[in-house]
Amino acid sequence: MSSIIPKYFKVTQLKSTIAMPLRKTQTLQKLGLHKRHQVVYQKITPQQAGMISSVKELVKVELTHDKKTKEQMRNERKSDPGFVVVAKRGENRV
Amino acid sequence: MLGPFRSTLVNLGGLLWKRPWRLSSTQKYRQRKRMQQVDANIENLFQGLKANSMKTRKVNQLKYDFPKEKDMEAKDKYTVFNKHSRGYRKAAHFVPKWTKLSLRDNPKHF
Repeated sequence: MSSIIPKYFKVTQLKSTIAMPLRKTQTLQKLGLHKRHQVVYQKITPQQAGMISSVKELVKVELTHDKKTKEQMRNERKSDPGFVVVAKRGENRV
Repeated sequence: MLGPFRSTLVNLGGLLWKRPWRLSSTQKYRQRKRMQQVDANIENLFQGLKANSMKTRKVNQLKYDFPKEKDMEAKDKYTVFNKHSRGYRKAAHFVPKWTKLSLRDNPKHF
């Protein structure tokens, strides 16, 4: 970690915005967070740091050097089906 | 035991406080954990900016002027200033939305 410079804030929303002031809800929305346990990656800039710091009680912040797309995160969440599709109907088997 | 004159806590005592006046030990434990999470967030924001040789006033203020959980006294962690209470303090859980707020600073000269 020390040799690689972190490039992204990994922000996870931990608390819901129910009954929070509108400004905090809007800040989270601008960061791309809409529900609890959602994860977004934000580039490390003073602007992003300021936004995150204004909702610091509602989120968890970590440092990463690479960013994951929505698709990657969804694939990581998938469970192991326990089988491998060798070939489909109409296809030639290897 | 049944009927209009049954003995309930309200009938016997007249007044029933449903919220205890101080936090339980588990409430205090979770309060500490939340505060530690906020401290970790501030540290990560600061270190992330520092590694990219950037800085911002808001994060610097939080890093250097905001009280840290490990440096705070128990009475500051679990109680807040209140002008109506005897001793000018009340338990933190009487503040609305207290689990989503940072209630760390006392008023000046208190």
